[in-house]
Amino acid sequence: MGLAKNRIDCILIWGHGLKYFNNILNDIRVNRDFEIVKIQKHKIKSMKAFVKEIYSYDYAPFWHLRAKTKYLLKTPQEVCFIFIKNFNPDEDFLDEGSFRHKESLTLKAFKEKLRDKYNPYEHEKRTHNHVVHATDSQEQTEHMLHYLGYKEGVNFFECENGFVDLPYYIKGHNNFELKVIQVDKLFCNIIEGKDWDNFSSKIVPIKESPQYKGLSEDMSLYEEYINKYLGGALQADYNIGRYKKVYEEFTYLQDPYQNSFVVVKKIKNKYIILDGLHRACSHVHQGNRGIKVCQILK
Amino acid sequence: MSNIKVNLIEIFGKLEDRQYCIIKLPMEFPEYKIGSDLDIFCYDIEDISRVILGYLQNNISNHLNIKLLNMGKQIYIDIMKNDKIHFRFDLYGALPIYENVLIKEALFSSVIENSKLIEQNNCIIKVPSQIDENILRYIEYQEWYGQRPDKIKHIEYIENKIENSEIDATKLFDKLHYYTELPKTEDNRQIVNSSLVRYLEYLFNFVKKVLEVAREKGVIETIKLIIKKLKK
Repeated sequence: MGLAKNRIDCILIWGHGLKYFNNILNDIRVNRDFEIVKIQKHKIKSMKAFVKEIYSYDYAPFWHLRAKTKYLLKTPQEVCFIFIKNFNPDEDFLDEGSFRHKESLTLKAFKEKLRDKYNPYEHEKRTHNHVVHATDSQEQTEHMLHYLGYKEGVNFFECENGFVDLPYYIKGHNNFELKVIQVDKLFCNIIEGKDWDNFSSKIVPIKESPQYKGLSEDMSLYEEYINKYLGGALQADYNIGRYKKVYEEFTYLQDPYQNSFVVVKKIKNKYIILDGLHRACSHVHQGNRGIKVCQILK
Repeated sequence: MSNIKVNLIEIFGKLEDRQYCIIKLPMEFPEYKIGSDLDIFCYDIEDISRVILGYLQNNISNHLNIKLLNMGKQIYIDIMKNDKIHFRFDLYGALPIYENVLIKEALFSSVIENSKLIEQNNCIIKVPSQIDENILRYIEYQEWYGQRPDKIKHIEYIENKIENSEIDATKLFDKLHYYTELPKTEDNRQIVNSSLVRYLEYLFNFVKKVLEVAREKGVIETIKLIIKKLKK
């Protein structure tokens, strides 16, 4: 069994840890060994079955874990999967006998820090009611992805081509056109609805998007939008801090981002943005009337 | 409308540390004819495309766009001016499929590994070794001569190189025979006894060939060729 140079891992926030959702995301963001690739909240029907499912790929037999996970049965029936790229797994084999297993020492240390910070405390002592669970191996991540319905497993996060920067969720295309279009023909999908798991989407000109309004009116409009839908309709690592920072230093397609086009698809004479809405908004807000895009043809 | 000129010197400058090899380098390079293409063998077809696109995106305007067609082991990058191909990069990540000659896959990497750096009109580029250049020309002739008699130019090129001792013929044929083979053919033709039927078959094939040439070269050129053949 080889040791990986980088791998996909998952940090699962249990229901009682969700009040620290934003803090945990920020802790991950500032860690240079990790990059958040997907944030997915999940409602659970049976906590007992879910806990068993999550630990079914654990190195320890479930009877051993039953006592350790009993507290979870009383936690809120909502969790969040945070999938990360682990650039420095520093894998090693730990424990002895039937408990011997492969683990990322980087993630193990990080998980302990999160638990130190956010686990409940009793008599000034950290309890074992862990707010987060983290994968030991990529096989466990694979199992979690299968559970969520991603049949490709970790391959789901593989980008399909290297000639333009396409995100992993744009796949199955081989015919592209790089061209200039007028910004008033650019549209995007925005989310509406009550909550992260109760929403619909609609197509609007980009100047009507919360992303654009964040720049042109008030960033809190976009912040509210993210807070409402992150983990639901919004599953990439959107955050205000990075958006502001990128906008301040932003020149579209400037080296080393010369292949990071805004990706669009033409539907009924509208160019709908599939990736790069933040870049498009920044470019438009800088007063540009035209934008170079990568249009997906087939 | 501005005159568009793709700066191939700059593009190949950006590719200097990449593994690639330009096949059938045109004499006028780095100048080029409008509508022409440049065949490039490379190991990492996507990485080379990325470098080319990263440079070309500076040229995109209301009159010029870039189309990219990814066929897996082959990528076209077409610079389009007013909906017509202005210039094409034809990138190969493996040997193209030939029908009339069998080639070992390893020839592809051998061409890249043995490529040499040359300077042509102030542009430093990688091209095949003399032996590989001649092998590729031979393959081109073998593949297309049936439809394109002008491909005889490749054989004339090879003959010329051998006559002028610019290449070692023994090494050329050794490598050619090692990497290529002609497909085995079976002769299943049935000869009809009736001479009338055979004559009709000949006429039918002749008309078919005339139509093919006419479609390719035009009626006037075809008539000229028929007259030339009758005079012989």
